[in-house]
Parts: sequence; C-alpha cells; structure tokens
Amino acid sequence: MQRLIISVLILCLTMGMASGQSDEYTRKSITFLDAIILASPSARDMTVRQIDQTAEVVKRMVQLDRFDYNPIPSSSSLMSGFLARINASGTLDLNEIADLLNSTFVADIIAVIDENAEQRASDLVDETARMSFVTTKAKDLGITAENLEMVFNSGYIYLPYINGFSEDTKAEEEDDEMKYTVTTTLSGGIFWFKIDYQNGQTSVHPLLKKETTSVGVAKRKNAKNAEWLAFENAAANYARNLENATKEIEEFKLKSQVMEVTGSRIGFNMGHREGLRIDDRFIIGEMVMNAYGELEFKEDGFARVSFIGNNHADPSALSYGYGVLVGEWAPGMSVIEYPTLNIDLYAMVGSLPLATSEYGYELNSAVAVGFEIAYNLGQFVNSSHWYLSAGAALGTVELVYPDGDNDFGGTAAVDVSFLKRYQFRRLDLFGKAGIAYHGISLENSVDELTYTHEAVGALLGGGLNVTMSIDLTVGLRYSMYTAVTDIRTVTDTDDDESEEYFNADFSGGAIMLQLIYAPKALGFDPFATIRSLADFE
Amino acid sequence: MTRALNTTLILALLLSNSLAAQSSNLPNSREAIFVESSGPAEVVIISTGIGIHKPRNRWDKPDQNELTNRAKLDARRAAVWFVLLGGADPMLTTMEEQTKFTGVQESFFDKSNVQKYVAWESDKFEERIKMDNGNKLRIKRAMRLNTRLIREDLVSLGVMTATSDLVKSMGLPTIMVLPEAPKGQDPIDLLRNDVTLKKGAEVIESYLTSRRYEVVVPEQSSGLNEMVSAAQSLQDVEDDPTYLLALSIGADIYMTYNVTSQSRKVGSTTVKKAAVAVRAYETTTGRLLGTETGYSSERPSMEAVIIEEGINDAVEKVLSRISAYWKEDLEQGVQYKIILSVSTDYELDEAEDLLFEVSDLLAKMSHKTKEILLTDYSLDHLIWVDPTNYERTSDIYRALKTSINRALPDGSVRKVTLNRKLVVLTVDME
Repeated sequence: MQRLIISVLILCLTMGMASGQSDEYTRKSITFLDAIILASPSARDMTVRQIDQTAEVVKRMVQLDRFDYNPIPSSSSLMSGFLARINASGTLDLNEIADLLNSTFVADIIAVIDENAEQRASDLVDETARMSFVTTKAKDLGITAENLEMVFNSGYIYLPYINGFSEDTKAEEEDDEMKYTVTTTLSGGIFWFKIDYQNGQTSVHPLLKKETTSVGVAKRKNAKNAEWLAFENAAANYARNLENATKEIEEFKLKSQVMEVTGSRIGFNMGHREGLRIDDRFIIGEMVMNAYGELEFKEDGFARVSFIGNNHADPSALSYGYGVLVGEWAPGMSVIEYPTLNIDLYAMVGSLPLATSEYGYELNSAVAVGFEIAYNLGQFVNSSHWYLSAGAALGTVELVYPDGDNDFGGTAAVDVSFLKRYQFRRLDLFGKAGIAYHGISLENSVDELTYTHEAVGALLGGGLNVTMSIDLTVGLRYSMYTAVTDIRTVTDTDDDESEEYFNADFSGGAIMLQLIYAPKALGFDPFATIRSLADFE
Repeated sequence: MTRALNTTLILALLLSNSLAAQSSNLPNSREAIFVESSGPAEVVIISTGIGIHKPRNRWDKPDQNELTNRAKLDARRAAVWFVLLGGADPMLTTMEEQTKFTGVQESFFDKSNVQKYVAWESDKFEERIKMDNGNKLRIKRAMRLNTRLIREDLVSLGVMTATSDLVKSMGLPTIMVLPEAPKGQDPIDLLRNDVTLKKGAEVIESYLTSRRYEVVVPEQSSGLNEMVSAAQSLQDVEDDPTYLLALSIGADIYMTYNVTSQSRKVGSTTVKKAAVAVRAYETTTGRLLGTETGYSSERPSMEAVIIEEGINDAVEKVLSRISAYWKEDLEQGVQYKIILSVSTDYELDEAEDLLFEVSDLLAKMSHKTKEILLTDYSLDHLIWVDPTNYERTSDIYRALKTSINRALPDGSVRKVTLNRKLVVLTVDME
C-alpha cells in the first residue's frame, strides 16, 4: 500500500457575483479532481475499498448545489506529480500543500476555469447590468472584465484528509451464535485553499482547516459485514460533518435579501439552484449605524424554509420561509444561512406510565429521562416540519407487594414515530404517532430473581414547544402508550428463565419536559447506529 | 409688547415651516449617482432614499414596511431631483427654469407623478442601513428614468421651453459631427475610411436626431481654401479643417470626437475598453462649449458595443451643455459671423470708412455685436439679430450689400460664403 494514497483530489474553483449588497451570496463554480490525503500510518492501513467509499461519500456531501463543477481530467499528467510530492513530503501543513498546489495544479485549474469563464461570468451579470444598453439594445451578454476576473479570482480548492483510523472488533456469543460488534473511528478533516488571480498571475493561499471525528458502530453475525457497516456509518457521518463545515465557511454561506414580507412569512431570491432544503434555517438581520457612526450587523430573528422556488427554470422565482423568531422585518433585510445538520436532538425528563392489575400489587415508575433524535423529512415530503424520530426513555420502577415489600428496577421505552410540528412564530404544536417497545427489569433481592416484562404498543403524542433561539427549543410533551403484557420472565441466578403470568400495564399518558437542539456536527450518526446494532440479519 | 409679538411671529413662522417640511414632497435625500445613459431617452441612476419615522413618543416604533416604502419613494424622488437639478449637467440649466420649477415642485414630486418616470427599478437594494435608533432607513437602489417624459412634462408645465416652439421661432442648433483629425488629415476621409470612427459618428448622430437637432454631414472639403483666402481672420485656423467645414456648411455647433480603445487578456478572453472624448464647439468662434470623456466597461464584446457604450457615457453630458448654451444664446437673437474683406486696391481711408460704416450698420441691425477682428482691409464680427427682422441670411446680405454700395459706389460686392451662420463677403474695385 502506498504510504500516502490519494484517491480523490477535488479542486474547487469558486466564482463570486458582485451585487449591490455586499453580503449577497455569489454562486460558486467548482472544478475537482478526486483525492483524499491519508495523513497518518493508521489512515494508510485503510483498504482501497474503504478509501474509495470515503472519497465517494465526501464528494457526494461536500459538492453542494450552491457550487458549479468542472472536473479536471483524471488523465492529467500533473496528478501523479502532485501525489508523488505529497507522498514525499508527508506533510499536512496548509502552507506547504498550498506551495505544492501552486507548483502543480493551479495552471490546470485556471485552464479549466478558462473554458467556461464566459458562461459562468454571464451568471454574475447583476440585475442593474442586465438592464443596461449593452444587454437591452446591443443584445450582448453584458459581461465585464470584472465579472471574468471574479470567475478567475474566486477559485477554491479543497482537499479532504484522514489522519486517524481504527477498528475495534468484539465477538460475543448470543443465542448460540457469534455476534461481532465493530467500532470504527475515523478522524480527519478538510483543507480549503483559495486561488488568487491578478494580472494573469495565479497563486494559491491557504484558507482554513476543519476537523472532525466520527464513529461508526455495527453488530453482525459476519465479522466482515460488521466491519464494513461500521465503516460506512463512520464515513457517512464524517462526510456529513464536512458538508456542514463547508456550509459554515463564510464565503460559502447562502446570503440574500428579503424580497417580500407578509406577516411572518418572507420571500427571498434563492431556491433549488442553491440546494435549499425545507426547514433550513436562515438568520434575518440588517446593517445598523450605531451612535458612533459605525456599521454593525444586527440579527433580528430567524426563519425556516417552507417553500423552495425553482430558480433553475425561472431565475426570479422566490423561495419562502416562515418566521420563527420574528423581528421587525422588511424587504431588503439580509437573509443568511445558519447551517445545521438535518437532525434535531431531544433531551427529556418526566415520567412514564406504569401500573399493574394484579390484586394488591402496585407497579409504578417515578422519574424517567429520555433521548430522541428526529430526522427532518421535509425534503422528501416537500413540506415543513415532518420528522422520523427514534427515542428512548429510561426510568425507575418500583413494584410494591401486598405485604409492603418492594422490588426496584428500571424501565425503558423505545419508540419509532413520525412527528409533525405546526409552527406559529416561536410556538409550535406537534403530534406524533408510532410504535413503542416497553421493558421492565426488576430485581428481587430476597429471592435473587429478576423479573422482566416486555411489550409493544402504539404511541400517540403531542405537545407544545417554545423556540428559545435558532438552535434551541424547549417544550412539554404528552405521550399516550397502549402496551400491556400479562407475562413476565423470571430469571434466577443460574440464568434459567421461566415465564409466569403477571400483568404489567404500560398504557397511559406520560408527561415530559423536552429540550430540542439542532446540532452542527455529531460524532456519530444515531439512526445509522441504531440500524446497525439492530440484528436485521 | 413688541417683543412678545416678535416672538409669537417667529414661533408661528417656525411652526409653519416645520409643518410645510413635514408634508413636503421634496426628497429627503439628494444623493444619486449617474450610472449610464442607456439611450437618448433614458438614464440609469443609483439613488439614495431616506425613509423617516417621527415617533410621537418613546414607544412609537415605525412600521417597517411603511418605512421601507417611504425610503423607496424618497429614492425615486432623489433620482428625479438628480436628473432635474443635480449632478454636473442638470436638465434645468437656467435660473429662470429653476425658479419656475420651484412653483411646481410639490406637485412634480408627488408620489404618483414621480412613479411614472421610473421605467424600471431594481428588486434589490444596493445598500440598506437602519439609522437613528431605527427611525430612519437609508437605501440605495438602481433605477432607470424616462428623461424624455420628464422633459415633456416640464415643457407642458411651462418650466422649460417647448422644443417645438424653439423650432418654430428660431430653430434648434444645427450640429455637425466629425472625428478629430490629426494635422494634415482630412476628417471626411477619416470618416469614410475608419469603421470605428464611422460608428462613433453614427451613435452621436443618433442621439442628436432623437433630440430633433438638425445634423449636417459634410460630404466634401472643397471650397474651404477659397473661404480661407477671402477671410484673413480664418488664416490662423486654416489647419483646423473641422472648424472651417463647420463654418462652410453653416453649422451652429460642431462636435468632434476621438475613440481610443485598449485590450488585454483575462484568461484567454480578450477584453476591450473604449474611451471616447466628445467636444462641442460654437462654430462662429470655435469656443469650446463642452467636453466630456466617456468610458466603456472592459468587455469581451465587439468593438461597436464598447464604442457606443463609451459615447453614451459622454454625449449626454455634452448635449446638456449644448442645450444650455443654445438657450442662453437664443435669448440674444440669431447669431451670424460676418466677415468682410475689402480689396487693397482701395485707399486705406476709403477702406476704413467702409469698414466703419459696415460696423455701424451691424450694430444697428443686431441686438448685440462682438468684434472679433478689425484690420485695415477686413472685419470679422459676430452679430445677434432679431429673426423677425432678418429671417434669412440673404436678408443680412442684402442689407450689407446696400450699405456697401452706398459707401463705395465703385465697389463690387461678391459673396464668398453665405449660409445660415456665416456671411463672407469681398469688396473688389470695379
């Protein structure tokens, strides 16, 4: 295996569009050549399949709709030279890589930009210029040298790298079968470089470095399957974190102006072309002159996307957003992307319903805490605030015998649900429906027995949330469960199990306080982890 | 008592001014930038608008949409104000026009009236800044104004003189357009052979004709030599064929221009930029009326496009100075250049007497005369005559001939050049 394998080198060349308001997003155009730098001995232990998989998923996630792409021919003779020099240097220093890019690929990149320069520059002709005599009377594209220079002068190069890779495999026998649990950790990041073009001279300058660590976990009967699944999860999460890190870069943030305001609904001039997603968050704000005559940007709430305009077909098509924290909004204010993962994390505290119909017994739960993750399905159903959620709540359980003795234990409720929220400014009502698994484990210390109850039932719930900030919401939820079981499993100290009749009623209502957080990055993908740990084989 | 009365009067005056200011339609902002003249009838302006909210109390916050609409309206008003009165070349050039406009400005800047001059305005703001604790909003917005409509409305309001009236009474100036010719080169030949210069002439002529100026295009330069030899005063300028051509064809004004362009590479694309200098001269005196250099953007476009863009940038401003000059000049009458050359066969005294007599006659005929040159045997005068008395050049010629014949009965008056601007006569001994 090569000491340094580069399978994908992506050269991103970005164009900016001048426009009236300086904070307007300018469409970017990216030229790329696949490569990933493997920057540590452990990273170089990755298989070719793993490298290719990582490259593929990074390319899919980081190549955002807001950029245009021009691939550098993979047959470029400079490719091998660049790889060889990176291998030889073994460096991850931004400046040194920039020097290498300067001496190898920049000329190729500029040549690729040059091929499409006029067409790309025509996208940069602003509204005022499109109304000039040159375009209206002379029927010219209206391109200026300034537009062309912008095309050449806003090129970006990115290089993803991996500097840490580990796999940990545990084998356990379950139900007379060997099960392999693999935990894969992938560390790495992305380098961004900017190309400057002046008077025909080009140079590459380091822009920034973003790092992330991602973990993938999988359990399978087949060790190879488990390894691959864990790796896939880690790589996908690594790429997703890089995607969000890319959106976080100031130059790449989507920015525009509010074109319409109707109540708390805003219209703005972006859409499918920029890769907008339903429920994406946008900060609304404006430039304010303070008492000292200095200009500062003042945030004035945020909105989330409810309708995405098809600006591929009609460049003037507007997208619309619903205001959540609604300020004093007016046309002309700035709309700035606030990138988050397409996931909401819930933390909950409250109670779970629990009872028994056994005469003289009392079965109840005191306090429960929960965790839930909700994937936003907005882009699939083309409607805002639709989620697929998976959550688990853990609580304490007490079984009180007719004679007053008691057993203590824990209860768990795991559910998978569809959730819909109805937002009205900072308040949102929500409803959810799904199925829930309930389990109880009680320890009888006198007889040294463990009683286990399990049941599956429906879940219906609803509640009210109050948005506190752009990424934080608090709320109250009420959940109705329907599960009941009349059987419990009794396990003795020899792990011998038997079943007996004993009613446990999980049905009823549960009230929980919840805190909802929209993260920018996660160390692992909870949904993928649940899926991979579940034994679906 | 008197003091109290004065105080009351001052307070009342201040209050009335304040109330008037509050309801005024005049723009709060007077800031605008000329972007381009996108044609003979339209200009693109980026103007600043200031929306103001006057809070009645500390809790009175502005309605943001209302504030934005006020700023937008103010930007429109500022753009119209800029076209009328702002910048280096405003539409209202004379004091009289500006004074007349003061009387109608409130209705002129009325919301609905201003709106009709806006042919297009940008959806987006170039700038948007909240000031004064949110009670003021400053925006910058690009818009295209229909200057022809503004001009027509000003004429109908009596602020500007109608072009048609001028045409009826005295006529718009006749303008000749030729490229600047290097010494020794014939501008007509240049025009014929240089495609770039020909394009330049076409664009300027397009502007002039769309404004209903009469454009004359000299076809040949023959006859200039005779005119020069007849007029001593022209011998100093015989190297300027454009001036002489303008005189020979009777143009009131002549415009010259030169076009330079340069190119460079951005990537593999060649971008070009044109600079076009346009000058306008009073024909009779060669006085420079206006000069402006227009620049195109650097573009990967065909030569004709960048030349037209450069000319558009320059010609509008020069035309506005021509217009100002013409209005001023018309107030004094119709201008003629009179050149009289007396044969040296005459005694010095005889010639001098004749020249004095002609000078006196010219003074009687005109509202104003200006002596350019007076030598022993020639004179060169500018005169401004009432067109009702001397409708045609031949009327002036006839009057001069009669006077000369009376003073020098043995003299023979020969007209070398007689056109709507120039009368060149020689007096020979029979």
